[in-house]
Amino acid sequence: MTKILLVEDHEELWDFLSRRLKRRGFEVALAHDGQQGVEMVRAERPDVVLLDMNLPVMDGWTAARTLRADPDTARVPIIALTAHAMAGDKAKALEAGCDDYHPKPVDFSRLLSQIEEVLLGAEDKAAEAGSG
Amino acid sequence: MGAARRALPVAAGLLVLLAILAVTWNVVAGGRAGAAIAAANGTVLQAEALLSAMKDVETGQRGFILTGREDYLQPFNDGAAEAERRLAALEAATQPARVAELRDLVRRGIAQAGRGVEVRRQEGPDAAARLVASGEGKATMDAVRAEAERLQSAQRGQIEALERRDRERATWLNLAALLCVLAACGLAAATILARRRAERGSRALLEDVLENAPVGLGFLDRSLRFRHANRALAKLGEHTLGVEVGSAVSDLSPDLKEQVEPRLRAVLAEGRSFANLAVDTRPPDRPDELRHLRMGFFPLHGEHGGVEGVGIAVTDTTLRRRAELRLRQREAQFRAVAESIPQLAWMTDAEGGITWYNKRWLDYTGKTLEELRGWGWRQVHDPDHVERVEEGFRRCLQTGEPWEDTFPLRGADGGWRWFLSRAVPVREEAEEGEAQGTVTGWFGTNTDVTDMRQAEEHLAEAKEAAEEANRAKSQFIANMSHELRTPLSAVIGYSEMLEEEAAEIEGADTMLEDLRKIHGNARHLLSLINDVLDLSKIEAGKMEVQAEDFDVSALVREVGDTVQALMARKSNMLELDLAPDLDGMHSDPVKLRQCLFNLLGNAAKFTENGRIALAVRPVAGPDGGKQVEFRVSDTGIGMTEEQLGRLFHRFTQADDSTTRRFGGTGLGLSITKAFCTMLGGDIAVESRPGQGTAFTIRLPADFRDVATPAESVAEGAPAEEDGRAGTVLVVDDDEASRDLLVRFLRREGFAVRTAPHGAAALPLVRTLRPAAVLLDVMMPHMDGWAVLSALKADPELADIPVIMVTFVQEKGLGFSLGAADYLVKPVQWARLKEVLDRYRSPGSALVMEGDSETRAELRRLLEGEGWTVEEAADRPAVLRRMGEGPLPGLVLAAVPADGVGLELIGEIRRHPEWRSVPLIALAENELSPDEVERLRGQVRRIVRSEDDLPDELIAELRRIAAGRAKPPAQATPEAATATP
Repeated sequence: MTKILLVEDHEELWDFLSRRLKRRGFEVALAHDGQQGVEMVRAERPDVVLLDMNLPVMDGWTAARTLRADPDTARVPIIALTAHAMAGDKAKALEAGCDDYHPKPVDFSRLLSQIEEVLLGAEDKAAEAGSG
Repeated sequence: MGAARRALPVAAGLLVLLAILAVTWNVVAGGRAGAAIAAANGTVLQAEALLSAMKDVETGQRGFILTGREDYLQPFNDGAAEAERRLAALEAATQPARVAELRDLVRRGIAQAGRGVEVRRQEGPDAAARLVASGEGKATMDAVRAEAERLQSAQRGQIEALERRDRERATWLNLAALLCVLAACGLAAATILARRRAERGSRALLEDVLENAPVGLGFLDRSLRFRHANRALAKLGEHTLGVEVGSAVSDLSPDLKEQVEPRLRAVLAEGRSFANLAVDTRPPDRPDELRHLRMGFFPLHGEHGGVEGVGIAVTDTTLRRRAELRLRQREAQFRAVAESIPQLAWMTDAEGGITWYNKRWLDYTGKTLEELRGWGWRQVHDPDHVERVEEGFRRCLQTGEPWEDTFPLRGADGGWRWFLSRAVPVREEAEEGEAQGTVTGWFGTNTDVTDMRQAEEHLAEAKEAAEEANRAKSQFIANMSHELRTPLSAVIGYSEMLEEEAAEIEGADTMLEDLRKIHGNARHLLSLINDVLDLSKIEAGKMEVQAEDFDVSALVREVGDTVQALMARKSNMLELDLAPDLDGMHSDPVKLRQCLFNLLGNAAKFTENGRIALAVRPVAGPDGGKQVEFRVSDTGIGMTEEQLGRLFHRFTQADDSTTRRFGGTGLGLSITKAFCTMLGGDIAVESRPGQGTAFTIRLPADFRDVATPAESVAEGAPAEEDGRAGTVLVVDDDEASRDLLVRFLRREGFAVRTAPHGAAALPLVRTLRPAAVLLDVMMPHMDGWAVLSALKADPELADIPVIMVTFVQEKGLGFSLGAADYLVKPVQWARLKEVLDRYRSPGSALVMEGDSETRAELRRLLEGEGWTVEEAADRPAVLRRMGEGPLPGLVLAAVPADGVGLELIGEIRRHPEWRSVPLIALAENELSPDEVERLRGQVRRIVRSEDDLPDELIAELRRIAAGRAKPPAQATPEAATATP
């Protein structure tokens, strides 16, 4: 089963998101701050990380950079979730190492397709890595 | 003339003297000539007598010879003696030489005659007769005679010559004397004539002077009757006094007589003089007119010393009195004006020394004119200003140019007020050939501008506050929108989830319907919030264009599909009309989509049972580039002219009732317009009430056509500029003047971008958001006026200051179109610098703050203040940044509890090149006294991040910015102030 790590500090958001993702058949793990998120990635090895950017303790960008800096976690697909509507958010998220970007509020069907996409991409990369 | 006149009598005298001399000479010479003639005559007579004596000798000899009688010898002897005497006399009378021959002949004759006598005596008569007959004696006698005659004739000739000479001389001398006398007489006559003429001339002159003197002059006889009056007096007499020559004092009008007569009598009686008597009278024929006269009376003395009459002198001083009166009135008027104006006023002499102050001046300062006279005003001046003020005023005194200055003056209560002071030179009327008259003094005023200055300051503060509030508003809206979206996300998320769950439950259809309404309304609320957020982003300049390639037809069809449901709601038909030759576009599809949604949504909202058309076709842009036109037309209610005018304004719809009837935020069109502009295009609308509306969007097919110049210039920008002062866009078609401007601006610390014409400038302004635009007028494609109008019409760009730099002298037009300033080429660099200093960005600030959220907050705050922000997360990052590139204008360092910040501040301060950079320490917690001590002298200010932000920080930032606005003065660290 595809395992998704949802790093989100806003309770209502992680609550309904996790429930809806679970309804779609995903296994969902939760983390509530950046630091915890990084640790959970290392411990749980999720297939996809949904990473909020405005997080306590360690923000999403730092968390993304930390994950990318660690060879163990460098390949895990990350979709940035951000309520930041200011210019440059998308670029900033991608720069920090995220694979995709999803602005809040969540468009669930779009988020699902984005998850599919990054999973496919990850498989491709893995295949490339495997063959190369 | 005088010398000649004096020479005349002298010459006459000399001539008379000459005449006398001539006559005298004539007499003397005549006398001498007479004597000479007499002498010559004597000689002739002597010669005659000699001959006669010789005849006697001859006769005596002959008688004796004939007779032999001794008595006949008597004549012989007498004759011989006589001849000797005559010879002696002759010798005495004339030269002996001339007589010598005669003497010899006479002596021989006498001797021969004596021999004849001897012969007669001794030899007898015959011998003697023979002797006589021999003729010897006769020959001698003849010779004597001949010689005597020769002598005589010589004498006679001499006499004749003398007489002739005497006559000639007398004639000439007499003539000369006569001429001299005549000439002398002539001269004398001429002298007399000249003198008489001169006398007559001077008398005529005197009479003329008297006659034409501007003073009335005349005299009265003893019976006080006017005997003579010059013209002025005659005129006065006729017009003012009512008298004429011949009339008596008693004929004067009674009041005049009363004033004059007693004095005239006193002159006659006592010989007294009166001078300058003031006499007022009314002319007999003009009784309502008062004339002022001045009179003088003086006695006229006759030959014997008695007073024979009275001389009078009269002047009419009425006009002078009136002129004086008018002058006094004018002076009074001036005083009245000078005392009544709300300003302090003063006058100086030509050297600038005060001679007069108005009452207001003296009241304000509480001083007296005596205390302040001359340069005493210095005592009420501020010592910080007085030198400059005096220097400026003295300079104007020298050049004669009007003076103006503003300075404080101390009032009587010891308080200071500010005065705008102006003074102008007061000049005499210019004489011919002079450009302007001599300065006789200065008139100045001091206008109290204290209140005005305060009002200006308040206004500036209010403006600053308003701008601040506006920034805060944009920030607040952005934050609020963000805050609203988070819970809304939850509402949408949960309702969607519940919809899914309800769909699986049997018999929950009603609930599902309700959940859909919740979901739909939440979505609508979200779109409204998104609009507000978009607009805030646009206003904050944070909306970005994400250009990519896309297929126009596909995008339009997708939009059409999406709005189908919306169209159906009011039974509208949507028609898509896509031109067959549509290519792909390179632009921001998200923004284009949003624009089309907005326009179609609008059309659907205001149309019922109608037709809505979206037509898309490629067109040529104004500068020849490819554009795509999107036209949304409807058959709806349309709009009036007035409504059209307000259409694109934020938060306003066609009118308030529209809002009530149709809902919406009124932001859709503003956003659409802003997006179109951002994408390098524009939007237009045409509408008629009741007949529908058509919106037309035109966008460049390739966004890079408008955006590329900016990027390429930005990339190619040389490294020599640090651009800390901000970016300036130079729009000028002339390369040379563009280059000049660029060089100047770079030297001034600005980053510079250029555009060769107006059409290229607009998209650059949009993307660059420069601190200022320098704009030429005469340019191809799109001239400066069009650019200026376009910039000012665009609410997003209207605030960017545009400075016109052009040869065109149309200041009024420039300012009315919204130019911030207007400079005429050739550019005065000092003036341009002055203008640009107003828009100079304070510079870049380096923020060291570990926490990203606080850092973002600080960034917003600094950017709001106009700073360019660079971030550094930790100490190495700061040191790395300080070590490379231009130094930041400010370092804002968080000082967390761990002391890293303190160390960093110490390091920056120790570095010789970095110590000039102002530092602000941002204390997270209460600092210990020890820490405060360590920071003292190293940072400009310690700001406690919790309670003091942002007011104190903003205040400090502005102080630093103000310090940086005046390069090259570097801000220096000040003593730190710890906030309690």
